[in-house]
Amino acid sequence: MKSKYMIIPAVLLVLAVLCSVFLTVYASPFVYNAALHFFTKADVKPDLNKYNKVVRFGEKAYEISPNESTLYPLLNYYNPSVMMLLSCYGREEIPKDYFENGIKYKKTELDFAKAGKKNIAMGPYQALNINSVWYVMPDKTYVLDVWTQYITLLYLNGETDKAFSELDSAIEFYKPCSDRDAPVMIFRLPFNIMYAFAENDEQRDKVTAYELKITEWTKANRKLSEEYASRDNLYSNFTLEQLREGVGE
Amino acid sequence: MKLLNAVKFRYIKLLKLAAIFFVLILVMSVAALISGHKDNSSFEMLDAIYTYVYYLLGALAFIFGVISYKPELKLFLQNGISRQSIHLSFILSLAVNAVTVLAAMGLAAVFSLATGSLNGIENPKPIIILVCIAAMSIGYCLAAILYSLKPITKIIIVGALVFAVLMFVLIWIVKMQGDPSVLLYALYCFLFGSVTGFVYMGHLAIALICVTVINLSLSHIIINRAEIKK
Repeated sequence: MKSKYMIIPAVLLVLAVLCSVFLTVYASPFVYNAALHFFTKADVKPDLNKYNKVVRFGEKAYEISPNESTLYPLLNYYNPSVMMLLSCYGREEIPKDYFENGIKYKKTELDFAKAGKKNIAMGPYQALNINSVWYVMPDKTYVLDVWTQYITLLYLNGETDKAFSELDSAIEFYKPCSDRDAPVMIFRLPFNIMYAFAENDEQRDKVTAYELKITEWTKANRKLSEEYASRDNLYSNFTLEQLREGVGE
Repeated sequence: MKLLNAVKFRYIKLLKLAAIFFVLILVMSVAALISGHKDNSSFEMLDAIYTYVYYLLGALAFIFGVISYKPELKLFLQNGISRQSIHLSFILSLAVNAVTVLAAMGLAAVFSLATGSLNGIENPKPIIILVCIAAMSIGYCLAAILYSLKPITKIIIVGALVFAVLMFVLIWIVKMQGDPSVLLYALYCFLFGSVTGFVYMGHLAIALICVTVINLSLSHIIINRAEIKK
């Protein structure tokens, strides 16, 4: 009889402990943050397979508990600038569904950005901000940054037409932009990658045309340094081979 | 009937203590109103008082938990109340926290009306009730561990904790060259669901319920085994 009174609290205790573990490991970005410093050590060669396993935890956490904190690691991972890293390994080592997933999460961020949210950390989820240490970019720079990453992912996923139509929209958005740090540097990334991966001359010409258009607008609207002002094209394009060798890092 | 009497006894005792706490807050609030009357600084002072009151309520709840264990266990067992009823009466008395939080909200509303600004004093979140309940159950569990466990069991518990920390240091820091701040990450992620300073209320609510259940289950196990000390 007495043991009955011990069994119930013991079962409750075990369940509560398991629930706590579940909350920490599967419903929060704990695994990602705990593992992150292993991947950011200078003397450790990045191991993509291990990193991918950690990101699977991040995806699960975002499914269970969708909020800015669980989304942020995924946005880091599906940032096409990681492509610079990936290109060192060759395209065949890019994880399966990388671009599809990247488009999904980046679209979420882009929607936040377009809705006037300053930063993904100030997204739509209910949160009480105690102490935020996030860098908040100027609004339009942030939108363009996210937008170009989104375009890059679309392009690399083979959705070329959609990528170019999004690029048109982004350039229209850029035209009246007056933010200080805006576009030239930000637009470098998609153009570099699109140029490197462009499959035929027609696509390369298209990218070059965009570059010249933005160059013209930038020179008309902004005072540039002598070095930039003397260039016909503000963008330096790298080939896939150059990217693999780490040009521009 | 015995259970009801036990609950009543606990409520009377805890509400008396809460009344002393609120009389102090009331005196401070009236003093703020009077002293700030001339230069219109009452509002700032009241704002400060009612911001900290919600933190102090957590501490008060912890004290509620600590003082709810030893005297009651002895008294109730001597009066023939079963151990299960003792524990159940404590669980029912956790609701006293809702009374204290509502009282604090009421006082804050009254004094914000007196200063002419309803929006000024920060609205408390209902989650504070859960925080207080968790704090009270932690206090109760600690009191149970302190008063009812044999010295050898206490030594084993402390030894196991020290051993766990040492093992963590050895494996995580020395062998894996990990950052010890991972413990802080774990705490943040468990409670808030983030490491960025954001608090997700649903996550916090579930975490607090887990903490409460862990402490209540532990204290229930201890009560079932507890001996009355003279």
